[in-house]
Amino acid sequence: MQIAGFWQNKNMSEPSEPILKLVTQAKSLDLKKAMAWVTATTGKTGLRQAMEIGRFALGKKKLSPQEYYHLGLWRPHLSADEKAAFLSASKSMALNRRLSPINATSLHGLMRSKILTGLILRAAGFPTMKPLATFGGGVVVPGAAVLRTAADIADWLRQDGLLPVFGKPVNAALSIGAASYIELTPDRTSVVLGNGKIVALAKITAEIAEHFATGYLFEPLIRQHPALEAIAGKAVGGLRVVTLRGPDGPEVLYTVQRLPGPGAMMDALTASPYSVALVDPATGRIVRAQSMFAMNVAPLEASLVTGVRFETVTLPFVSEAMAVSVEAHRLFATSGVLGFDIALTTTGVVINEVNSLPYHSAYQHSADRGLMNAEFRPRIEAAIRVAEAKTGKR
Amino acid sequence: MPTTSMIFDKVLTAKSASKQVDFATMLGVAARARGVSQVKIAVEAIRRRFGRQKLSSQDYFRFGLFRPELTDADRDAFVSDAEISRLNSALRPSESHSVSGIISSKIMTELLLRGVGLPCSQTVAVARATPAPMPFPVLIGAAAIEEFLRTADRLPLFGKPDDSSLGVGAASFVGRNGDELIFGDGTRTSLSKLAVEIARDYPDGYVFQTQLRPHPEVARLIGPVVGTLRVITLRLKQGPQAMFSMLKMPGPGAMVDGALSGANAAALIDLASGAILRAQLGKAPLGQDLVRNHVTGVELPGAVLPDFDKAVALALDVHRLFPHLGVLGADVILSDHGPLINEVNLNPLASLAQSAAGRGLFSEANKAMYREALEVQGASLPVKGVRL
Repeated sequence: MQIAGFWQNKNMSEPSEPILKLVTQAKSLDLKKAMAWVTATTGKTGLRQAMEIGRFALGKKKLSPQEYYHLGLWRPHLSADEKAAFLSASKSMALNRRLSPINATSLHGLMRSKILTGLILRAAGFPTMKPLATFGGGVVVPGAAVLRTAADIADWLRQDGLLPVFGKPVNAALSIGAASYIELTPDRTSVVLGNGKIVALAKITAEIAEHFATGYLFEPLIRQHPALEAIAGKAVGGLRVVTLRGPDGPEVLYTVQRLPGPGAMMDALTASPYSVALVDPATGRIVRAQSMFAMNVAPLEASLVTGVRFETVTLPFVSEAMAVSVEAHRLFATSGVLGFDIALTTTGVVINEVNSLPYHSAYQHSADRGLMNAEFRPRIEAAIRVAEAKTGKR
Repeated sequence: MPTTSMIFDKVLTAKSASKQVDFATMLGVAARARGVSQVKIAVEAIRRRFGRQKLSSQDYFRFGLFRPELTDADRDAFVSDAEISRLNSALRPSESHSVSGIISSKIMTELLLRGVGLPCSQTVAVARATPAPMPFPVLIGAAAIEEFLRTADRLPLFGKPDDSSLGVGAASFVGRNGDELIFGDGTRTSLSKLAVEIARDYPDGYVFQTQLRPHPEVARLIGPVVGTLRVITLRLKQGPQAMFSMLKMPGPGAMVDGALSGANAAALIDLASGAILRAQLGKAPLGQDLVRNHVTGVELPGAVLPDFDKAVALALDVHRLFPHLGVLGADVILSDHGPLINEVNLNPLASLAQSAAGRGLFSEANKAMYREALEVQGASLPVKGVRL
């Protein structure tokens, strides 16, 4: 997938800035402005908001002021039960740890390594991307190039006919260090990234070598299904399928399509905020979509990238994605909850990553509903009982 | 003469054997060997129990610390399994980075090694209580297990629980005679009884693997039953490096080389040449060399193991898969088709190594390697309860 001439109209990035996302992006919010906006929109006074924030922050919910605004808990029409169903990031993680305790038999270390997870899934017959090359980390994958220095990486990327590829650290989350490498410039000294930026090969490879010595992995760049590309653009957005181990085995809890922001290379928080869409598992239709971490919690009607209206789109391979996630969860017997990131490609599904401690904010934003809602709560509680029975904890 | 194992509640060995030492007898043996009073031996054993070494009285006798030829430094070098476990723990990543869940599962380990293309044991089926996607048949329930084992030309097979060690539940199934299954040690059992036991006792997984044959030279040395080569590797500044290696030698009539299978022995291997340096029979007093293998009668010291270099290279390849691990024990089978990984262990204990070597693990050279591995791991010294 060469993008001919794409580089010509783009500017080189400033040499002093890091090219890759190296740290977790702060979900910043101006609380003063947020409070004023809510007062203007709903008439709820600052004092009432402050009291609500205090109750949420100091009570069992442990919701931060930012979460109070991002989840829209200030809305007067929400009932107490609806508000109580929302989980803070910390409570979400605590729930995950009850479902998948961190102990001697847990698989958290496996899931943190994208290479090891991929190798096991592929050996078990699941569709995954085959590594093309690895840098650092010591893991040698048969058939994949072994890159030992920044110069090795640059030479490898410079090969004829190699690009486009996708690169990501072996042990990072939240898209830190991830990038798509689209094509070389004619003088072969720079590379065009998926966000259109042109960067010197020497600089980006030095950055990889400096920051990701514990492992960086190159894979073929996924070409998304046209139906998904219509709302996501060229950048790959993963279908997050969260599965629970219930009394009868793994089952799907929810499916959310993540949509990269305009100009972004991936579907995580960057300078360009991404959006999330709740997907109807039965039809692949988008039920509701919303921007992540925006003050406005109104649903999105159309893609922020392409402008295509969500109501016109049916995502392909959703039932296959759910089936493959449930089957893969059966393989990981000690995990009570897993978050699968599935790519919907032109030819079928590919498991991109598996997350042993998935954040549930994508569901809460896309559905505008707390995770511990009346429908999910009994299923989650049943899964907790299964997990506790497995570890002998009652 | 084969017997039918109908009198036992369980067909498969369900727990590891006790290694209790008879104190009264050993006090006398030790005192005579050392030429001192039993009281002096008892005082020394107590001193080592309550001193920094924290070696149990069992270990004091099992490791033969009373031997007159040992210096105090030699005696200090012996390490209890509790101490080495604390050290191994410091060499492992935090639980959130842990890969214990993979390594404690033989199936997951095999899937990973297959994925990387490293040679490993080949599972042909797994019995489980629940379905799971595997690149081999999954047998759910006793009837499915029984049907699988009844299939013509299926045997011989090796079976073991997915998540156990020390040979618990392991057995070789070499043939079938009607409704009876014949074990590798010649005993027989009812096929249906075995299938029920596997389905009941191992709901998380019982794997059936192809029965491997040892390399002809290994078979000449230790007999027809597979004995695994344990290679301990440490992650040092230059990457994983072999620290020591020993060959486990199954006893007469044993099916496996685990701790349960009778009179097993272990041999220390020279890392440079692959030659056996010395061997020790598990039940014999430590320090009493096993010169001839107890199954074949072949002389052991100086015998060179085939494919040893490849086996060590394989163990190092496995360690490189886990960049966060400071220590790893790889069990390699020197098979007639070349070396392959049988299992890997996150907490390789000291007893077997000390038994094979006849001396303590904490030599100054080994302690220096451990200190370097801890430094690489980012662990700070001192490690509580570890004499480094």
